[in-house]
This record gives sequence, C-alpha cells and structure tokens, in this order.
Amino acid sequence: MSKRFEQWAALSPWSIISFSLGTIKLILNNGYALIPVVYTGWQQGFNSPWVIVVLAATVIAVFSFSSLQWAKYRYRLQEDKLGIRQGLIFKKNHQIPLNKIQNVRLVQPLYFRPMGLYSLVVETAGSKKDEAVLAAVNYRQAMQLKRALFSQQEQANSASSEAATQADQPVRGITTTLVTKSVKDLILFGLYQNNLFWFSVISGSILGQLDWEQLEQSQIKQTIWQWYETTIAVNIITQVVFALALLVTLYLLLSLISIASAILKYHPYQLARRHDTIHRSGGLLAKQNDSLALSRVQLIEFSQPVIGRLLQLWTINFKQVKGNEVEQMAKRHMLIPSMKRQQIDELMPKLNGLAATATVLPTHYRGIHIGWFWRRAWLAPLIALLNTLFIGINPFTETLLFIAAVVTALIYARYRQWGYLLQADNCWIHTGVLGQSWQLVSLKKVQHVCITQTPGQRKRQLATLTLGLASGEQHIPYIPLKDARQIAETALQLTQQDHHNWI
Amino acid sequence: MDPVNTTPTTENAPNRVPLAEAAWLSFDQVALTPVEPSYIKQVQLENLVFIPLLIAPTVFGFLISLPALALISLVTGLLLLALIISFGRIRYAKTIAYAVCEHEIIMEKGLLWHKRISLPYTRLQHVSLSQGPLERHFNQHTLKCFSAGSGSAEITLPGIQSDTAESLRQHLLAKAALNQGGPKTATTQLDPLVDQAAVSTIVERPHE
Repeated sequence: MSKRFEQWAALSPWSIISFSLGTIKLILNNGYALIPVVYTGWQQGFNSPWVIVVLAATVIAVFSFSSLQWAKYRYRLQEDKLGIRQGLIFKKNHQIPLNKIQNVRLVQPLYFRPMGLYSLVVETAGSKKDEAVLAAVNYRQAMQLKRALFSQQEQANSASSEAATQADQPVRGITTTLVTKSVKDLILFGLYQNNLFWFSVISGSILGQLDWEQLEQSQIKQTIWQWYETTIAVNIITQVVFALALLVTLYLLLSLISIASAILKYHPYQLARRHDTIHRSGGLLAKQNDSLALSRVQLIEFSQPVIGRLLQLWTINFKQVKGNEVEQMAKRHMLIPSMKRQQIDELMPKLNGLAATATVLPTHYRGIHIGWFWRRAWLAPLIALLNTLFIGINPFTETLLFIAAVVTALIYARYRQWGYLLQADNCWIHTGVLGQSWQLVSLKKVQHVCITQTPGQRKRQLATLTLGLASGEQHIPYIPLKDARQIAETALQLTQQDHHNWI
Repeated sequence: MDPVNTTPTTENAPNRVPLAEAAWLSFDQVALTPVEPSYIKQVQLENLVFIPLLIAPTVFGFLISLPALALISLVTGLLLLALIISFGRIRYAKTIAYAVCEHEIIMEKGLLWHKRISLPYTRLQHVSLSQGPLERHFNQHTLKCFSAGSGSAEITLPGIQSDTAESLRQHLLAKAALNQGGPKTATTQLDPLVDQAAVSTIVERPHE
C-alpha cells in the first residue's frame, strides 16, 4: 500500500532530546556511574571546580552519546515487518513482524509539546525490551505510520479471520467517535476511583509532621473543642451528623488528588474506533494516543468501587495479555471512565470485533454455594470467642469481637456477590466486597481450564473452576460440578478448533 | 428457567452443534495415565534430605544444652513434621497423572485440592523439557507446557521416561505448530518460525 516508509529513514534531530533523557535515566538506574561525581563532591565540598568539570563532562558525554544514537538510528516498514537498526558498537537489528504488534501508542511528552512532536511507541507480545520507540515524529507522520502499521496488519488478518467483518461493516476506514467524556465526568471518575492507598500515605505523613503537643495547647484547638462541647455533643444525632460530615469532607479533600490526576491524565477524553482498532486520546500534561486492536482484548472488566456504586458509574477496563498493558509502567489497561449502565448498553454493540459478543451488562447472576462462606467464616469468630472465654470481656476482647464481626460481614458480602452467568460463548463473573465488578470472559480466549475439588466439595458435587486467560486466571469457587463442566467444556470446544492467534 | 445459558442466541451464533449433556465425557472424566512408578522412588529418595535437617537442630540443641524435655519434644515434633511431609509428598506424587488427547493435554494432581487441568494444543505456546541430577539417575524428564501471559508453566509434569518425554514434546510441538499454521495456507511455512521467536521472548520475561 504505502511505499512511503519502505526505505531506511532516520528520525528527526529533535529525538536527541528523548535519547538524552533515556541515557540519563539509564545512568540514574545504574547509580554507580554517579559515584565519581558524588565522590569528588564529597571530597572537595560541593562548590569545588571539579564538580563543574565532572558535570560538564557528563553533559557532553550524554549529549554526544545521544547524538550518536540518533545518527545510527534507522527504521523502515517493509514486507509486513517493521525494521529498526541502531547502535554504534553493539549493532542491533530488530525485525518486528506486523502481526505481532500489540499496540501502537502515540505519546507527547512535555518536552515535545513546543515543537508539536510525538513519540510513537510500538509494543509487541513479548518483553518490554522488544518495544520500539520512534521519537520526535510530527503528528502527520505519526498518524501515517500508525495507519500503515495497522493497515498491513489488517490486510494479513482479513485474509483469514476477519474477512467476514468487511461485509457487515461498511464504515471501514472511517473513524467513528465512540465515547467522549467531559470535565464533569472525569471529576466524578476521580471521586469514585479514589485510591485509599494515597489516602493513607498522605494523611499518614501529614499527621506524622504535626507537633501534637503544641497543637494541644493552641488557642484554636481549644475554641474548637469548646464549640464542639456546647453545640455538637449535646445530643447523639448532631454527633453522628458531625462525624459523617467530617468523614465526607476528608474524603472530598483527599479526592482532590485523584480528581486532578484524572483530569491531567485523561482530559479531553475521547475514544474512537477505526477499522478494528480503538483509539483513546487525551491528557493535559502529556498528550497520549493509545491504540488497541479489538481482537487483542482478552477480558473486559466493568468495575464499580463503593462510591461508584452510589453514583451508579462504572469503569470499563480492556485487559490485554499480562505484561502488555497499554501503559506499561503503570500496568494500567485501556479504560473508559464514568460510564452509566445505559451508556454501556449503547456502547457494547458498537464494539463488534471483540471476541466477547455480549452486548448488555447483566443484572443478575447465579451465586456460588454457601459452603464457600462457611469454609472461611469460622476462623475470626473462633479466635475472638476463645479469647473472650479465657480472659473475659475487656476492651481488648471487645475490639476483637468487633473485628471478627466486621471480617465475617465482609466475607459474607464477598460470598453474596460472587457469581457467574453463561451466555452462549461468554462467561460473566461477578465479584466484589463493597464495590462490585463484572468480568466478561470470552470463552474463545481461554487458554486452559482447571477444575479443582476438595474431598468435601466432591461429596457435595461442587467444584472450583479456573479459567486461564492470557490476562490472568479467573476463579469461580464452589459452583455445581455440572455448571463447572459445562463452562469448561464450552471453552474447550471453542478453543480446540480455533486456530487463530488469540493474543 | 435455567439460570445458566439465559440468552443462548446471539447474532453470530457458533457454527457448531452443542452436544446434549449426556453425550459429554467431560475432561475431568477421561481416564488418565499415572506417571512412571520410578518417580515415586525418586520422591522417596528426595525425602532423605530431611535426615540432615532433622539431625542439625538436634545437635544444635545438644550444643546449647537444651533441657531434656524441650529437646525430646523438639525432636518428636520435627520427626512428626518430617514424616507427615514425606508421606504427603509420596501420596501427592501418586496422584499425578496425565492424558494426551486429540485436542488437548490433560493433567491431574493434588491430594486435598484435587486439580484437573486441560490445555488445548491451539493455546500451547512453548514446551520445555528439563532434567535434574536425580532425574538423570532415574532416566526421567520434567515436561512443562506454557501458554501466553502468565510466564509460569500451566502444566508441569514430572516423572516421564526420557524417551517418552522427547517424543511427547515433538508431538505437542507438532500439534501446536499445525494448529497455528493451519488456516493461513500462504504463510504456513513461515509462521512456526515467527511464533517460535515470539514464544521464546514470552518465556524469557520472568528472568528479566
């Protein structure tokens, strides 16, 4: 198709910047290279001229090394392969077959923003080392490259597997926008997807910094205490309301971080479809453009944390082969934030080409056997009760009993929410404790199946079913053996004749 | 209404006829071959490693002149533990069995958690054979079958006679290559090579 990229081509000189940063990162990672700098600094005091000399030498070395890297870097696109040549002393010659490409990502780091340049990241099914980065390409070039990479891939695919899609998809070649998200949606996303981990880290470190004794005697604290005593502590209702208000305020304050990061990362969020690939773009700081071939999606997860449940909003995650996530560093999958149930039902039919064919988020599921709960429920109460028996009721055992009650309740919530649903070739798995999530497994993508039984389970004709996917294993415990077999056999029936590349 | 399979019809229904449930022989009902009896011997031999582990704490207890009662309970405890583990290991080894079927390889293992794993050849990425010093003595190999993603072997099958192991590996690879090259007639010859390259990188990942 395009003859444009068939000759060996060099990158733009601007890519020296990204090569330099890569080199600096490498130096920092292998910290021993810094030892001479630190050592001279420590010996001479940090204002010695030697520090400057060493620093200048480092800068020159890094710059010349990066320039050399740039000068020796060549790429071309030929015969279904992306070829990359690089290296001065250790020559490397990569050949990436286009049908092995998992993702093509367009990233705009901050330092490329003024020039309007992008980095094109090509990811393959394999290790991170196999990833190829074409730095400092302009937008037009990047898009052309991306198109070329995917079109050839598609040609190869359509020859065999996806010939059928051409007929039922007249919009081929046209980009259709599937989802856009406003600032408000992203704020809500940051609010409900708030990570309690940051909550603890930040509050912990702030509380550690405070001088408590000084605070104890401060004027403000005493006025507040007085106000509390006179207006709040007078009856139980105001106390409860006050505590709730305090909690909500704290949560909102801490959500600010996740809200800000959601906006910086995703705004203006747009998900579009072109051919059989979905593209996400957005990001205020670093503009990102991720692509993902629909056939590469291994599992779709619809998740809803507690707050999301209150707001009735879902996050959709498209999970890929483990280790090949769209964002490799953060191990994050391509996601769609703030989706209402109705929006999901509207979106899913537009995503034909996915291995999973389900189009509606289910509302009910078949729960697992209560045996799963009994197997786990006894331990916490037993510990608490034994302690109470031996040392009697005291604040310690009271706390223990309380914890036991909470743990049991949480285990029960998990039991209640664990369920499954088989719809033709799709298996839905519902899990959750306080929040909830639906995993949509296309049984075509299953790599191995495993039925596990304990002697007790065998007696009751129950089994634990494991579906091994390239994105990880999914378990459904304590289900009737009959159902486990049906799901497993359906998966095996589908996969044993299916010769197409599934990753 | 059957809660399973609530909406059996979708627009692209699979072009295969679902068998009646009675006609299935589920993969957990297929008869399996146990591993070589000499593998049990090998496990027994491996269990001898507990002897020095038993002696060392006892001698140490003597050296620091532990009270007699404590020493006796320590030794009995350790002895019991070693016996239970050894016995458990032997029983576990006896549960390992496998079957090479037309479309999949099946493996069974587990004492308390009785596991039956099935890996279709179409999803097989890589097969490896390994042999430790003890296994060399017993003329055995451990066969590992890998799929994509996890990096660890889906099926680890110890105690296979070396001749069987090699032919089994050839058979599995042939099946996998056949499957992956199948429909693409034009690229049949190229594909296994390409896949091999991709496979080796996937398997190497955990060592990074």
